[in-house]
Amino acid sequence: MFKPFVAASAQKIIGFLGKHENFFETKEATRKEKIVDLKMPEAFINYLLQSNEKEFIADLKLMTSYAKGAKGIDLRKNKFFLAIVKFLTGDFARKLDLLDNDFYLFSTDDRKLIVEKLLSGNSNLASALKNILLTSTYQQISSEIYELSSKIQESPYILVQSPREIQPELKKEIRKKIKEESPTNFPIFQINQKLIGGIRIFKDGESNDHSWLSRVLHYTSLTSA
Amino acid sequence: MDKLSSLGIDPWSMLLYLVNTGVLLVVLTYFLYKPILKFIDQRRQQIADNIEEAQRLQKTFEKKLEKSEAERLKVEAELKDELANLQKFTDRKRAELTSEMEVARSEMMQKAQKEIDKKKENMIQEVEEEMKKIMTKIVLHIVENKVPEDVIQDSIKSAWKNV
Repeated sequence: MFKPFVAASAQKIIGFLGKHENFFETKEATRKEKIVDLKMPEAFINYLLQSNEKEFIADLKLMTSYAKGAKGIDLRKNKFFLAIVKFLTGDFARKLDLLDNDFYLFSTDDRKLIVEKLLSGNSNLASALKNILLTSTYQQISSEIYELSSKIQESPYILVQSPREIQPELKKEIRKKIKEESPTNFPIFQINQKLIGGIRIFKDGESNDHSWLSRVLHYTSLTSA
Repeated sequence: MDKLSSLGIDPWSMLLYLVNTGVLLVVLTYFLYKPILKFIDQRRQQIADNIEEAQRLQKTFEKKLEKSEAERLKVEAELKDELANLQKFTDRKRAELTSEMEVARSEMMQKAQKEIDKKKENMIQEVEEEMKKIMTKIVLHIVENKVPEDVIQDSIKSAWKNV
């Protein structure tokens, strides 16, 4: 799912480095000045600021292999893919949260309109992201992000269940709080009407239940005891 | 004599007849009367012997009868004793059996009562479980369908604060 996005990212970075050939040889202050020209998410900018030429060449090979679909690639602790995951679990996830739950049921034209409003820009990078949103469901995207995140560093499977769709502001807050533990943590939001009220969070199988359902069941178990 | 002849009676013939009669009597006495008497005596003796034998037999029989009666009475008494013992034994056995049956019946009753109590307890438990499920369903149905949307949203925010 993310191969076109990785390829587009690589292309954009290479394009930037083509304009600034001595980028990795310059000092940090100069780098910061130059990188203003790069219109990319913060995670990639930080990556370029912290990398050197040798690392980038190695990462570029890895990006190419990944984009080609090569199997058995070791992405563990790779800085570029870590930047990808940081972006996907951060900025992209927040965009994802802005989409209504019914979005995935709309017609393609309606979805295109919504996605265009959500992701402005016509770059290859933006197109790759738009394509992901238009061709995949929330579950597919969430699952792929979690899988990619797990390949880079050990990440817990976090599922946040609520009886109704959580408002974007609260989702943002929840993501922020969960990402404080690890930048690759990616909570997946799920609607479970049986919860009635409150929320329930599963983290690697452990449940943190603050739902009304649990209270009702607790109450009924007490009354029948 | 003449007179007798005139009457047609011959004295000689009469004598002859008398001699004949005497001879006949002697012959009869010797050959008939004595054997008959002897026979009669023998017969009398035989009858007397028979009577005596009969009396002896009667006495013997009476003795045997008496003995038999005594034995019968003894046997009867023994039989009565046996019967009494048997009755006692039967009564005792019946009492024992009745007692055992009473114990067994009591045990069975207790067992049955325990089974009934257990079944009753299970039934009550099942009914309680069923009631609990129904109560839960009712409560969940009410809460699921009657809670306003804003209250649910508030509950989500509130729950997140408590996490």
